[in-house]
Amino acid sequence: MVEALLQGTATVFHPTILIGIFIGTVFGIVIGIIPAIGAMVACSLFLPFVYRMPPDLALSFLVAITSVTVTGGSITSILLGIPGTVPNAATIIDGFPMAQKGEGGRAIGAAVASSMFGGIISVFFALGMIPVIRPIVLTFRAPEMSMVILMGLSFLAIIAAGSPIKGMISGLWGLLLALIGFQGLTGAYRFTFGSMFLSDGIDLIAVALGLFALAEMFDMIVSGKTTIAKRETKVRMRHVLQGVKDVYVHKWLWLRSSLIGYIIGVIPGIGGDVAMFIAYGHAKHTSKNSDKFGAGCVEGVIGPESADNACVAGDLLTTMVFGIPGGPVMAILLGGFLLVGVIPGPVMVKENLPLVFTLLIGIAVANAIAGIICILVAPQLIRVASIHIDYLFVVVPVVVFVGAFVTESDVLNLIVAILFGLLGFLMKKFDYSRAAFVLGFVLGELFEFYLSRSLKIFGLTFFLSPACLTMIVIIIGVFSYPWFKKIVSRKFLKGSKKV
Amino acid sequence: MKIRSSSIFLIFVLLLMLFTAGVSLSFHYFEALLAPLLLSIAIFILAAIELRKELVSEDKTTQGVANTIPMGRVQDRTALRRFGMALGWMGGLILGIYILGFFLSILLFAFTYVKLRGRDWLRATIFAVSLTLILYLIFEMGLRSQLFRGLLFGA
Repeated sequence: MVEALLQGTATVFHPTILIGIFIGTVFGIVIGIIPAIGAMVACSLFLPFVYRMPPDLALSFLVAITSVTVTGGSITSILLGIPGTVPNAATIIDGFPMAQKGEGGRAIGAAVASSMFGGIISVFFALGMIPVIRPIVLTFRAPEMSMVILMGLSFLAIIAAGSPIKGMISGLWGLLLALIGFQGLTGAYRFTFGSMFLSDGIDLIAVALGLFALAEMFDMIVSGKTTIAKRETKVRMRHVLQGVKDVYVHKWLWLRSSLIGYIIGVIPGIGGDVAMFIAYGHAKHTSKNSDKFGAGCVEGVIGPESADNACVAGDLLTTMVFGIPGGPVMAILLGGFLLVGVIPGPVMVKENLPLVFTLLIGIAVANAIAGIICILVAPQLIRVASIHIDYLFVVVPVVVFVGAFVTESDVLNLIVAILFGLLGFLMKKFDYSRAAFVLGFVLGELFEFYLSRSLKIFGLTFFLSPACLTMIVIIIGVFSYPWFKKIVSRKFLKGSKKV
Repeated sequence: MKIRSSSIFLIFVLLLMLFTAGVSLSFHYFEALLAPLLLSIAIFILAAIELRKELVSEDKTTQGVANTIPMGRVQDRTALRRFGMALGWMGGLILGIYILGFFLSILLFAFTYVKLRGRDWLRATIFAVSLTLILYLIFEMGLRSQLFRGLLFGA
């Protein structure tokens, strides 16, 4: 274990990996600042760029992008009052009023410093957890793995979609789509209808690019968005440094919020947006100035921003160790893992432990770089947010089509991308979970493999091991929770009416 | 009763699942048909439940704006027109790529779109040329992937 840690650390500080992390960090910040594009779109857009890179470089690059988009997003939230990324919504509540009072620099300093240190400390939490989780994960066999996949899917389906049923439809749809093509086990061609193109299955990159990047473009065009309003904001360096100092003054709030973010990150399916609002609530609840919250209180910025970046390490740990995504963004990243030939889960923990450490430490390095960049050039960076949609509408489809083509060198993948763009647009409109769909698609083949292996070895009672039964109980609990909540609240309402 | 567009989407899902279940039954091996058949049935049941829920709630309330692509009103016609335009541009780009190859069609698409959206000649040219150049440097030089040259230029 120590040897793997040292090896993983040495890899992070290899010049090529460092450059990859640096470039990923810069892209992550810029994409975070542009309100229209979140980490999910960013991650899918960069998949075509990494598929030929070595796994450690490709994944460090993608992890760097996903771990700092929220840091960039905080600048837009504070200065423009628009969330740069979805999780940054909580930062607006106090960050934007601070900017209106002329304390924008201070709010940015506090947001960036708490994000940076939150991201770094969470890596230590994750590193500390590996020796505890590893022996448990290594006992997992085919039945447990098929249950883990189902559990991840149900968590994501329940949380990410408008209704549990819609979430589950999305996830199962992804699973079904993954079955298209040649099945090695039986030699059967499924749903190919005689097409050679479909016999290899549908390309993940074309699906992810269409479902997220093109769908967002359709949505922006249809909603008539043009650009983010330009605002004149003066941010002075001494105010930024004062914000950094505020994080030191509220160091216990920062630590507690980081821990909250990390724990929420570890729970499968829940992303940074939930972590930020819980941390905001915690900050308000524990503050002596709780009456000032909402009117521009620096603690209202420190709490959510620490939690959000801390969430990423927890998300990634769950993704790498169990093979199920910690949050919606990780569903795309999981596709990135498979694309470069790394299978997350017990196999990765057993055979590729140094890479686990490399990626976790990569988060800390990316956060440190992002913190320094944002503190130094935050006022200039905000100009990126004023990019006009006309340029985005050219760049995004072009990158999508080039990306869809390069992996298989097949022009038909362009049609696949546009079809999934339309599907993604409809799914977004009708509140279906695109993240659950991608997760189902990414894990479909593995799920079928584990399921058929379990049936062959253990028969129809394969799910009767204690670990499987526990996971089944958790899945049932997750699904029945919304109905349980509804019934309890109805009874509560009836009771209160009687009173 | 007015049927929401989200309900039409669900009806399409139901029909699609009937079709996939039917196709699954034509597979010769049990291992090949088990997963797709089970998944099709599960999605069919879930979609039917969701459709019923939507139709019942439609009867009870006229709300549900967030879940619909509203049709028939002026703003919806504008949205549909924008959607058609976006789809047209993307379809045109794909057709261009197929005939002229990636680089020429990207150059033309970027220039034409930006120019028609009211930018000046110089800005449109600089944008189109730099985008094409960046993609060439990244994919052809950096990643050593040969992009499609198009039917006209010897694919």
